[in-house]
Amino acid sequence: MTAMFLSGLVLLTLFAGCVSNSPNSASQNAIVQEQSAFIAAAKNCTDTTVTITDAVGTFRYTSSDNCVFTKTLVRLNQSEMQKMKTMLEGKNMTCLYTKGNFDPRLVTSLVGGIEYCSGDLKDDITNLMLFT
Amino acid sequence: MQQPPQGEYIYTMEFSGQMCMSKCALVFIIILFFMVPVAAQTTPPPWSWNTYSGTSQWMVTITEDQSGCGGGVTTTQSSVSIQHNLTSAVMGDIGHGPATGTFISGNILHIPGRTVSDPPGSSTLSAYDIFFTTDCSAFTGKYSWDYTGPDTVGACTGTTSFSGTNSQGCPGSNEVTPVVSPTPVDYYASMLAGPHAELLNYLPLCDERDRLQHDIDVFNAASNLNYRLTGKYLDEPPDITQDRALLNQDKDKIKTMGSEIENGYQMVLVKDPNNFQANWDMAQLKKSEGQLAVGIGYAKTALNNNVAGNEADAIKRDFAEGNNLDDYPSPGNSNFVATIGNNLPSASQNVYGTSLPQTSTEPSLLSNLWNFEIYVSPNTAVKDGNLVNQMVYSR
Repeated sequence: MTAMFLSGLVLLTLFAGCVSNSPNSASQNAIVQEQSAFIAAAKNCTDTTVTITDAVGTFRYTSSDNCVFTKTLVRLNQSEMQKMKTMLEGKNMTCLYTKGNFDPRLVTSLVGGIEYCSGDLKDDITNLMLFT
Repeated sequence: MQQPPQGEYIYTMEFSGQMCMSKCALVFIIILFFMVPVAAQTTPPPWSWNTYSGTSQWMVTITEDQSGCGGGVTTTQSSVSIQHNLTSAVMGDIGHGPATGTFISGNILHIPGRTVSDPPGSSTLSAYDIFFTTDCSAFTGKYSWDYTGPDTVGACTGTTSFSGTNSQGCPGSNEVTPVVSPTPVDYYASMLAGPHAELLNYLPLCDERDRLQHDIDVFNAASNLNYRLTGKYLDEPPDITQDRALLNQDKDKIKTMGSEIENGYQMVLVKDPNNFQANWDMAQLKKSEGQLAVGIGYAKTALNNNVAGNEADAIKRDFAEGNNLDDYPSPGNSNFVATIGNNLPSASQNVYGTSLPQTSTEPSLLSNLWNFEIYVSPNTAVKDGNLVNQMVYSR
């Protein structure tokens, strides 16, 4: 009985380990880490560029030493319809901020913080927000 | 022959004169009795334009004196309509766009001063009165304007004088035509024409304000960076100094224009609180003033009322066509749009005038709709020309 219990416990532990180390979870962690690193650099108005692929698509984030942030939609997820890709890919928006006051939602969200930005990407997102 | 006594003769003569005069007076009175009604039939009573609702059509001669700006004096003629709504009226374009005014008496229309876009610059027009004749046959007026712009002219002053004629007489003075009550859409459309035209002049001014502010902010950021690196701020270039001055001018103009425009829309909203165009335009106005919560309130009123179904569909259709999409994308057919929906916090119950929750630390739906814009494809005619016309409100 004890052996069976212990065996079950071991199997359960292995199973939990497998789940926690599944590719999706690992990649999600990697995305969060990359985003966090960029956010920290942007807050300090450091010259840096990073390209991150998430569930929506691939975005390039750039911050400059004069506290200008640029977000470019490089490529949408493959499942997106072609006409949406044609409409959105390559568009960007630019946001001015002050040192220490970078809004992390600009990286972690599609819509957060964009009210203080300008550019085609922002225009399209807000038009799509209107009836969503 | 014995002469009659002088007095008798005189008496006789006087009596005869009186008889004649009495007969003449009687004839005169009889003539007047017939003439006065005839005169009444041919001379209409004085007309007061401040009692009329409808449209009047005029042939207007416009004389513009641009000699102060290096130009000459030009005279043109054009057909101009005036939209009347009792004590207010909107005169069609005679050179500086439509003008909305208020009758200060039966036939004197007062147009307040305003600033209009006059590419490549802008012109500030003086207030003026338009004087109409009581037989509806003519009107006249004159105003001065101060132009400022980035071109070689720079700044100068001129005048525009105009006179209109109308051979149709006063409304209703010819054949009797059935009175057709204007539909509510027509009625409010005529009231909205003026403020909407002013808004279309106002929004580019806000664009300029935002562009100037952006340029100044970029310079300030670079200067602050330089200070961090070297301990010294950058010398301000002349164009930034000019931008600061222009920005202050724009802010003053925007403040004046904004309140006038809002008054025009409120005249409609008081009577038709759910009017789509009034609410949508007010949303744009409030957004341009930085009052995002109030602006979103107007936008939601515009979109959520019963009339908005067709307008909302028109906006969606126009967005789709302008971006070569088959349909306006939805969360069901677009991962991108689905993500937008997921990123938006749950909407609070917002109605016109409701404030945002004070304790919320999460941006509400209203905050996220701060930058709502309406893009209208220049290639698409929206079905209601007064609704969302072929102008781009983009910032």
